[in-house]
Amino acid sequence: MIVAEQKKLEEIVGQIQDFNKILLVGCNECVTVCEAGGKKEVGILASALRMYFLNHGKEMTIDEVTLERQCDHEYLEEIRDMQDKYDAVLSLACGVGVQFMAEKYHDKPVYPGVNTCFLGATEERGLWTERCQACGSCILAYTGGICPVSRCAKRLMNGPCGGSTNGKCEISKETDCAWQLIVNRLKALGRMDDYEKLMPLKDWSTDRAGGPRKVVKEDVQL
Amino acid sequence: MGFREKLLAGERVFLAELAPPKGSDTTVFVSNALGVKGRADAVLVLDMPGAVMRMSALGGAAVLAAQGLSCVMQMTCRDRNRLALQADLLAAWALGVRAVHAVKGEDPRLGDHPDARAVYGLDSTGLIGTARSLGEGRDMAGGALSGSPDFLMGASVLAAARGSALMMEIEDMERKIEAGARFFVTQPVLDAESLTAFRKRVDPAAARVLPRVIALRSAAMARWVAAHVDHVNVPPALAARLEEAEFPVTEGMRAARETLEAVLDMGFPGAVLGAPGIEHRLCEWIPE
Ligand code: SF4
Ligand code: SF4
Repeated sequence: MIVAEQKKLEEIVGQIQDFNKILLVGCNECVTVCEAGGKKEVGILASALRMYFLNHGKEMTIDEVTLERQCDHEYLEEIRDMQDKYDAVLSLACGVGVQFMAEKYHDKPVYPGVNTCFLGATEERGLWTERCQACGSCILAYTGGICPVSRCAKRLMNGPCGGSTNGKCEISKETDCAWQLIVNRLKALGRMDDYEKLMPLKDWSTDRAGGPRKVVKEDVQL
Repeated sequence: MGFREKLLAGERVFLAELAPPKGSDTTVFVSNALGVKGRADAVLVLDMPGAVMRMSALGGAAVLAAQGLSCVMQMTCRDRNRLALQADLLAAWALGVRAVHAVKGEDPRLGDHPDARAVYGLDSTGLIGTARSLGEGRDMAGGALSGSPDFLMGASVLAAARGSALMMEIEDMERKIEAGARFFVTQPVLDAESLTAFRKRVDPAAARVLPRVIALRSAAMARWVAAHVDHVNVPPALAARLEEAEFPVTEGMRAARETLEAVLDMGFPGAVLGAPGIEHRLCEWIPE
């Protein structure tokens, strides 16, 4: 899923303080799971903002709504009439949702309430960690199911580097060395032969570096 | 007077653009550069134009500087992070380079290594500002330098843009000037007409805008440019002229010379002159 983190209250206030009526929109998908922008967080943030503006003597209406998804035309349509009544929208969806909202409601200011961080997993309650950078040509088959693109600090294709110590990465003693994890897993799978092979040079043309990407699946297009 | 002094004094300047070799043999590159010595005020050493891998502009400029030639080193942001960009600026100064043309650089997918990862550690405006802070004795992190480079920094402008795109270009120019750009190079120009709208809004002498006038070597090249290079207007008459000419290379240079005269008449303070693929004949059409 997409992992996000709510922005600091001061930054959010700075974005919206010149308006009087704000629609605060949550999303039921990834940002709900990572507890940054679901219905619960919408409620808490709305209260915090109301309190802030009350204390600062500014009249401000903050209304709440949470959509099934903000990265989908169908669900965004649900607020077509509603959004008209507000000066601006504050979205707690990931960057995709914020942009899709802004595209759909072209003359409505839309502000992000979260920082979108990475594609990751819930390791434990309250802890999300990165697993994928959407490089567009997955090599997990050769690396024991552990991704060196997102988890090795240097994105090495033939690791580990000299900085790997006791299973930890040179950037921090708290970060596992991805290549140590890869080696451990290949050993467990009895596939150390794979490790001996030199990995081919990575094709970065499918990565974001070359501009925005798209996926087309013609058989399902209408 | 050197390129910098002439440019800043408002005198007419000509740069000859050359790409370093694809390979380690610099013989032809050096001989082409020596060919323009005395005619061009400096050589603009291109940095992997078209995202095609070749010797770095830093290497090329160092080779020419060692031959006593004045160089403007082009520097693309595409392939380096901010450590490498700053490091190469310091190296360039130590090797005798005194002027830099900061560019963003084309995407690797347009070149011969489409599987390369682009970096863009800074944009070109950021690079110009960085050169200024190096000049003030500090790196981007605020660290003190022993010896600081005082580059003459230039940037690019799409002077043939139209309508709202042109207005954006002009605003971007202003940002670059604020960051420290002292001259500009346009996209390739094949007809002076394409600069008319720009000329109406910008004083090219004050902003030191140098049109990049290119000699085409054949009608096929004209067609290729028309199909593949954005923001370059290829006049149909030029393609026809090259098609009919008995000696297309000579005709292409004649046409470029006419364009050069026209842009100088329009008040541009000089030009960058290029002849891709026929660099050895570049000297033939640089005005004496
Ligand atoms: S190799 Fe690429 S697609 Fe596969 S997990 Fe890593 S970043 Fe994601
Ligand atoms: S220590 Fe391991 S994870 Fe860190 S950079 Fe080196 S190989 Fe990659």
